[in-house]
Amino acid sequence: MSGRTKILLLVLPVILVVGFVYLRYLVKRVFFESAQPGEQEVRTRLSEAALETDATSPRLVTLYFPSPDEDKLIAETRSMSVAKSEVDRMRQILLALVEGPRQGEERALPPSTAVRAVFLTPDGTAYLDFSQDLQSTPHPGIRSETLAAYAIVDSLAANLPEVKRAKILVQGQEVDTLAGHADLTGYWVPNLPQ
Amino acid sequence: METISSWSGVRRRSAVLAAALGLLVLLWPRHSLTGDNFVFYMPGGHQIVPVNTVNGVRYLPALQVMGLAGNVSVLQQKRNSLKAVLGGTEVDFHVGDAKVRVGKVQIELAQPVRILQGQLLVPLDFLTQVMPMLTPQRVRCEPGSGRAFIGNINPVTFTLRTEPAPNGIRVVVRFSDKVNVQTASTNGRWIIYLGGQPVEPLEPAFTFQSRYLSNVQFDDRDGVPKLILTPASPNLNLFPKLAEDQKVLMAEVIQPPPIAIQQSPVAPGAPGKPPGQPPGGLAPQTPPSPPPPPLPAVVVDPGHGGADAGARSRDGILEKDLVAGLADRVRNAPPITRRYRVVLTRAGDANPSFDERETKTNSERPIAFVTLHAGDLGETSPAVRLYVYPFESPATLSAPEEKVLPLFVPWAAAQQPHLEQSRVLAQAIRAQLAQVAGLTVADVEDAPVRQLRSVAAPAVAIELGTLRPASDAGVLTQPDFQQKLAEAIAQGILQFGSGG
Repeated sequence: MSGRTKILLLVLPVILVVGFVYLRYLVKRVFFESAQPGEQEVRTRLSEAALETDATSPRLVTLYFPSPDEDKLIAETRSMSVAKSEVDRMRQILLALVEGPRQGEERALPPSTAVRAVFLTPDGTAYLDFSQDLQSTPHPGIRSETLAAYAIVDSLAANLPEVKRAKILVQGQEVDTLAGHADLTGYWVPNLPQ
Repeated sequence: METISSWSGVRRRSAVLAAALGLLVLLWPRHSLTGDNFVFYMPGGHQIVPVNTVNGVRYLPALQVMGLAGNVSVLQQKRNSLKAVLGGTEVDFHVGDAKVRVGKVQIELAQPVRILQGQLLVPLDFLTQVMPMLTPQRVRCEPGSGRAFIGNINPVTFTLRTEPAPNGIRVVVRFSDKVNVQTASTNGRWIIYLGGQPVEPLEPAFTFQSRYLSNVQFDDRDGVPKLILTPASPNLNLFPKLAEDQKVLMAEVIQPPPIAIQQSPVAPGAPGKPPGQPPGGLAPQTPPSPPPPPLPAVVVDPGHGGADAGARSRDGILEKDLVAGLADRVRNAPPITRRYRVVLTRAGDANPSFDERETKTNSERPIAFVTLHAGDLGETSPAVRLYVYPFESPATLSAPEEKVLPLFVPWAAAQQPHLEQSRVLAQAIRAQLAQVAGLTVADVEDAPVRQLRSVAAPAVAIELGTLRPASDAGVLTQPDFQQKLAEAIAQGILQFGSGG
């Protein structure tokens, strides 16, 4: 047996053992470990926890949801412990919109939507950053997307008079439309039902 | 010495090898490949399918042709065979074999099936032998003609004869129905366009002897039927006119009399024309007559496309397909084709970006723009809603203090100067749609539809409903209903264009 063959016979089992151990590790990671929460989910959980600690006594808030029968938004009033800061309150309202209606209206936003970030500038412009799920509505269309965008901006304006207009972003970026129709390149100004 | 002789032996062998290779290249069987078109006329319009001519035999792409008669699904695809289904009937192709199995019947085609550039090709007799077995629709085709008719299509037929005319020849074309003609002159030939409907000559070729006219051909390989007249000399004039309720075309090819040198002033109204020449003459080359002005454009935008399917119904109807079909019908609606050139923003299943669609639209400088959509309009169906972009109302693009400059309009506000006309257009279309029986038509509304934002023309979004996962598309997919909608939209655009 030559020297080279001896070295090969020694190295080969080592490689096989290392490969087998790594394969087991991969299998365990892929098939058996639960998915780690993504950055987005962690961020949402943290902000919800922060809102809870910052919350004051319950207050009545007005949310707008699309009517199932008519071509308009319907106001739904509910009691919520609202945060003191404006930005936190905006986030609470958006999370309540994502949670959905309680009085039989239609959903405005897909339930998987995450609120990534919220800002309010001194001139009353709200910058609302949602996750990609915002665009995954099962009801794309001009009417339904327009109602969804107004549900967001009207719900904010009804509870925070400081909000004069809103810019809707997805994953931190400007996008053309909500789901192929409603223009998100501009600012949405509240159109509160009279 | 030995080295030298072995070296010369190597050279000799190399020369023989090179000569043999050259001979092989020269004698290698050649596959001449040329391209052509085949036009398929169907009730909804026409489709142009490329014909591959290999060694003088014309072939059509089998799957593309079958797809014109219905939905084709490929069951099995191997290197040298393919099994596809159309209308519940299986078809088995084997490359290199002229026999095709259709259900349980075996059909022998004139030439073997072949594969070229990834396409399964069949000879033209596939249309007459196999296609009628795959679809209940009528399939009619004369393989030599380059056109086929699928479904209930009655083309306008015509006969052509020539007769002598003073100082020229008269071509008399008798049509089975009314036609509209437009004449153009290009590359020393006259082209007489015969309208948008399918036209079919009753004779395969026109033969005549004339010292004024070399050749007359009918051509519709691009889906546009036309007669092409080749004059025998460049200084002839063409005078076409329609007679007998637009069913007869008389085209006179006249040799103009020699130009008399006149010192006296030219008669007003006919500057530079020789005396005796009838007005409206079309000379093929000298001086070149200007082409007729293009018709004004109307742009129709079928929403979505490609991976973006838009809304979807319970029975699987996709918004992108529904609106593409409707856009095609609007394009071919008889009232609109006579007065406008209808341009679509997307071809087939492409999905151009919003900016690409708007750029194409604005470059056409259209008199009207219509974007077609389908979505969830609630319980009422069929229903339709019309929208214009609301610059002055809630969803504004820019801060109120920003103003549109008079000369340079921001791209994002290109629709703003046309908003008033957009409302007029929307009302005109709405009035026509309201006459479609059974259709619920809402008032024109404001909605920030992205497709309208940067269109520099009167622009309207039309949303058809209801298309949603909870219900079937129902009547929205019916051809009769779609045709009525398309004609109403076309009529609305016409009324808007004529100021009414």
